Amino acid sequence: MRPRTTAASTAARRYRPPKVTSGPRFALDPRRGIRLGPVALTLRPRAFLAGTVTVAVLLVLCGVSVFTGSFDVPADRVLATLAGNGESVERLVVLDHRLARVLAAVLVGAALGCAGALTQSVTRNPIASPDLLGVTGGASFFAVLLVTQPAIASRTGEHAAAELLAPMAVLGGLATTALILALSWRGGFDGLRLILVGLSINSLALSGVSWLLTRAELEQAQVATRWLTGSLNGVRLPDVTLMTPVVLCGFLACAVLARDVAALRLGREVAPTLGTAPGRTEALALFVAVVLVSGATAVAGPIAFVAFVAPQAAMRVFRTPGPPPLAAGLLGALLVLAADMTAQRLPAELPVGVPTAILGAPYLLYLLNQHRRRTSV
Amino acid sequence: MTSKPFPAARRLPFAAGLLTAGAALAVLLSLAFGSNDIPFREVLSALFTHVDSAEATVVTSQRLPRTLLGLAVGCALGMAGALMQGHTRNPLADPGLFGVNAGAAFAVAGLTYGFGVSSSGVLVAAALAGAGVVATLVALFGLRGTNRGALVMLAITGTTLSALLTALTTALVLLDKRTLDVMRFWQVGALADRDHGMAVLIIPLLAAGCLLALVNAFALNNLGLGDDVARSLGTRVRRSRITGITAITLLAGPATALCGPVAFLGLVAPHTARLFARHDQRWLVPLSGLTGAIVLLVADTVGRVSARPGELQAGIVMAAVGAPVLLALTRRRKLVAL
Repeated sequence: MRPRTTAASTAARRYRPPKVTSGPRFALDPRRGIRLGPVALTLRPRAFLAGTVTVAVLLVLCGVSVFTGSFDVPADRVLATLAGNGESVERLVVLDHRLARVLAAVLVGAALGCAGALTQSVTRNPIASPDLLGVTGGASFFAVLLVTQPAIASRTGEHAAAELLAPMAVLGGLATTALILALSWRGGFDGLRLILVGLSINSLALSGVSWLLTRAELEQAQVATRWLTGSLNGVRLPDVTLMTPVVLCGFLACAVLARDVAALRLGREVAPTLGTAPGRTEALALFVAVVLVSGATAVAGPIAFVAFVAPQAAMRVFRTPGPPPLAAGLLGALLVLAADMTAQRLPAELPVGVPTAILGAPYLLYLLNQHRRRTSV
Repeated sequence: MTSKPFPAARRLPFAAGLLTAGAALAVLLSLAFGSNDIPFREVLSALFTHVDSAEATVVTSQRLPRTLLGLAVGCALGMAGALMQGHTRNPLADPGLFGVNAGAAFAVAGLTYGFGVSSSGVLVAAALAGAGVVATLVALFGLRGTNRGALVMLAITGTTLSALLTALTTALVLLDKRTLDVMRFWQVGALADRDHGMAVLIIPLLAAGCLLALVNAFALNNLGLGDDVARSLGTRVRRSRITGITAITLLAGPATALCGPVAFLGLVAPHTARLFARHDQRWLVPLSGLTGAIVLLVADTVGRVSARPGELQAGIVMAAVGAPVLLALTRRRKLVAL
């Protein structure tokens, strides 16, 4: 007599272990540590590979940018100019125009990507960007005010308006930031409170921009819109010397803060159990983000989208659990440089803010798609 | 809310009554004040009796349609904001997150740039189509495959597509002076000078969206517990998400097409209504609608009165009215998290 089939035994017979389709095909995941005396490091092959490739592509793009352009300079002359033996025309083209612009693009992109990762980590919100901190919103308002109300601009000096535009705007942006941070401080920056205060103050600034634009003459509105999109057209070598220490200090601070920021990502309640003071870490991380964004805005104006896309892309490319500041900086630099090269080579002259989104958005959508395929079991 | 608990059974009807009274008051204010000085008695007589005077014409043909439009659009954007924040569980989510605003703006800019269209009816229709197409794209892309992490995926997909379209709009605006001239006024968001004829077309869409939103709010309460728990409680997660996105598109798309992007309203209204409704989405969605209507009507009225003989667009005053409200909320010791 055949044994009676019970529901449980049927279920047991029908059970098939699920096929594991997720995860990388070759084993890059197992982590190995290296210990050199008091210093210990985790080897992360995936992050190392991604970092190497990003830096390599970045260097190639820099090279292409410096060696080619609308004005023809032979490669050996470019090298000689870089070594310091160029004629004045060559120095102007290669150093002042090409090199300054390439370096500025890299530095601005790095600053924005890094600041974006810090902001997304502190607010624990993947669609947050440092725009929430008010630097760009405030700077936009003051810039548009100066452009569309020449009466105010002329009070600062006869012909200083154009040159003082960016510094004045960034000062205004920093004042806005100070207001936002002061209003949201409660012994630390709670993500939700910071978001609400940031949204409020930013909406005030941005509606001010809209209001000024509807009031302005059409020509002035055009100039203002161009500034609002962010552009590297007017970049010179002094901008680069301003930006370099800012970005280097920012990256250094990120490296020091990385562990605390990662702990903070687990939540304000968990972080103290790992030895991280939430309030102090949030304040420091936001301070670094503000400094980086101010530098970038002073050089190129408010370039939108980089600070949102770079951390999200870096998370997926470097396979990290949260938005990684330094990797986001690398990808941000790559994005802005590529966008600026595109902008320069397009028939119609567009500021770098436009191709940034046109290049960055499809790439992030592609990454999102890849990511989903891997996680959908 | 306070240190003493205020039981939900009394708090919620109280809040509903308060906000309804507020909305009624806002309607009255919007009818009573404008760029012309009309005594309130004449406003009333113009509304309820047939009087043939210049004042009566102003009230019935200008202020009344505008007030009703404000009521409908404010309500729609408030509810859409609440649904959006409920679905994405993200305090940064506004009704434009799924690309409704960016799609509408791109459609308007594209038509102005490519074909030189200036008829407001065509632009409204185009904005509506643009909003619908982009929201559908985001939903198709964000909801494909699994539900795991769908919330974050939807939010990021929406932000990314919005940014792409905004960049394309900026490109058109920078390339053509006339497009800039149209867009700088369109993107402010206003109730004035809107095509009231199109409103007739758009009201049924808003009504449908409103109904869907109220139905969806019930499922949203379960979805707030997480997809897996919601499923175990009998909620059809996928269907609810699709209903939600449809409702948001039906509410925010027509509202944006008609009045331009008043995105901040969709942020202020739910965050304020959460003060009363806390986590109960069944109350939060309608209360957000009421709050949205109040804020938009007050902003519009203030805009009319503050810059006589001209007026400020409601979208601009909105920030001045809404930001202090939102800031006052953040002064509370404990915030109601999403």
